Amino acid sequence: MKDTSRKFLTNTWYAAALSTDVTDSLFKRRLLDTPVVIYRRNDGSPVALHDRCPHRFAPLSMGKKKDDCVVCPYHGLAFNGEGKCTHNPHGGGHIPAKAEVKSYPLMEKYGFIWIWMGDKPADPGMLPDYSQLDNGHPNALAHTYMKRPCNYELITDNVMDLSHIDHLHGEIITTRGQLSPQVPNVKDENNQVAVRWEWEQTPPMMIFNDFLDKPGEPAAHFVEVTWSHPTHIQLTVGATQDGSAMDYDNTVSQYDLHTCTPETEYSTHYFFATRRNHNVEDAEFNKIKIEGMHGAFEDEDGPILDAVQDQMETNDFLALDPVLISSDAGPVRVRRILKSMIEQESA
Amino acid sequence: MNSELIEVEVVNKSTEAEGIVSFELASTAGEVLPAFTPGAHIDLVLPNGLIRQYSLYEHNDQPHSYKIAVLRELQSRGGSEYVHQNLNVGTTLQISAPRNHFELVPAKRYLLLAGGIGVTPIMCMAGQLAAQHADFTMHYCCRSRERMAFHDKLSAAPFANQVQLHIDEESSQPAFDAASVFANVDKDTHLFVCGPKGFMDFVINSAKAAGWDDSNIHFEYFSGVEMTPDDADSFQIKLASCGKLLTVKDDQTVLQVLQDNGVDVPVSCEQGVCGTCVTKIIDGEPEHRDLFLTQAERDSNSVFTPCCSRAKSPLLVLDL
Repeated sequence: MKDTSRKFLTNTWYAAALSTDVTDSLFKRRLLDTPVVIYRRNDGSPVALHDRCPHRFAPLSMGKKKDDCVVCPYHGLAFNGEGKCTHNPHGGGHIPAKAEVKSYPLMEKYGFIWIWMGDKPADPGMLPDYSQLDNGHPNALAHTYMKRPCNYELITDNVMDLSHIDHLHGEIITTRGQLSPQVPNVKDENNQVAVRWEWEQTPPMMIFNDFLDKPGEPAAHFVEVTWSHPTHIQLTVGATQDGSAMDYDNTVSQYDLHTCTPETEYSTHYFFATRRNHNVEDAEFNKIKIEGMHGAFEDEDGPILDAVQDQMETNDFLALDPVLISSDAGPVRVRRILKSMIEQESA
Repeated sequence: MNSELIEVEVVNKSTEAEGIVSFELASTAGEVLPAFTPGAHIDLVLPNGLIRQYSLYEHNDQPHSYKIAVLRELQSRGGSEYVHQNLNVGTTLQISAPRNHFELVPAKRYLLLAGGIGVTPIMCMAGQLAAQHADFTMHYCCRSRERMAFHDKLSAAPFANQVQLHIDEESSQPAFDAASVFANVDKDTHLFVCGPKGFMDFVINSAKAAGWDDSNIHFEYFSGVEMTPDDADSFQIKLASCGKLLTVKDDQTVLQVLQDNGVDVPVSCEQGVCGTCVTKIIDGEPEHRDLFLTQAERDSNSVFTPCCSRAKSPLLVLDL
């Protein structure tokens, strides 16, 4: 196995797949520069193994699932969910103690399968509480996924710095120029970084306008973005016209989770979930909304980030001596904390 | 600024509302203080070295004293907290002469709007306009009656029937109905608004949305949301390597002073974001104004960003 510990934080949870990605078959994905095969035992519980037979290094994901085991396509060695070889069809069937693949702790929560790839014991309490995603009507929740050919930290930067939305994005989420002039309030505590903006705009953000009491009239808006290691970003955005508390429960709002998992240093699995508190039963609207959000990233953020990665020709953003501006406060704080955590882990 | 400082004494201190205290300041020399117009503020040079601006809330053509009211800010940067605790009757301090960036303009009608502690310049304007028998209406918005300074004073004022109070806690609807207040767009009416940033943004945007012309909307942000040179003090820095002592004036950054004196510090963003200029502090307490340092680094006071941060102590000894 490659030593990825210097490149990525490993003793932490990453999203490995959407829950709906892993069904009856073997699901393969490269995570933190390591090939992984994920499947479900007969009881439905997910397992993840290093996708490489310890014998001749064939990808187990090319094999077959048999009961709770995966059978190597090359010579038929079988491995269970803990990575132990359970069957050797050769010779007398002796199973060497070393016939074992690494098994990764998994946790299934909030519509994702989360993986722990570090050497320390997995700590289920380390994943922040995103149970807001679970609360509410099923038609007010959606997930999506895409892969991007850029370093994962560029995506984190992009979500932590929302000042780009009036420049890069179209009519649907414009703040009418209200966001960029503000120097956001940045807080860090316990290795989390939170950035918050508040502003007034007329008309309200188009994603909320039709659900407010007085469409087209001035509304107070807020967005709060909280990063937790390694790549989880929870974003709540909302609008109100009646002076109520500026939070998810008291405004017309949505609660999003962005989380990225490096495939390699230069490619990233980008996962996204969104829960809204308005028009909650409308399945058709739910579908249009998640397609719209997916599209905005695919067509607007994605191409810029891919091109930025090409221009950079490295993943060491700060080493290129960027000219930073006020909107970079959040991203810079996140990069510093993550870097120091990676250094501590590999020390 | 220093040449114009006036020494005053606190001659009265009283609680006006929850978290709001008023002070009456009179010249220690017993002289009449410089005249001012409604909307004016003074700088208080606090004995701890901070300088803060407060609006004058009562107008008088020949002022023997100035009256200010100070809200204790929850996220006080040291000013309001200090004022509440340490300014008492008998305390002497220095103030600047009044300055006015929020003057009334001649108009047929006036609409005055105050949010919270923003009432101070607005009440001053109302008093003056009433004395001139001008046509005006004042709206005063507050979260609760307990936090509403000058409630009784306004209720008893000769112009009380021109004042409308809007108290959020006592109303199930939004207490202040911006749409109806701004419905009559009229180029002869001028709007004056002061209060917390969120309130002012809301009022100004509502007025604009209702079709009010920018030139009829006048405002002053009460607490410095932007960092202005007004908000800065002069202090000294010392270079540990050579012992050289340099003064950073209120309109200079540490970085400028270092560069002017041939001390080379690498710099990039010039606004406390990138951390390129982070410099170690050997002694003294910085006033962090950057966005780069983590909370832990900030609390340690062992480093700061000379491009934008300043000093709380009179002297900073730098590892340069």
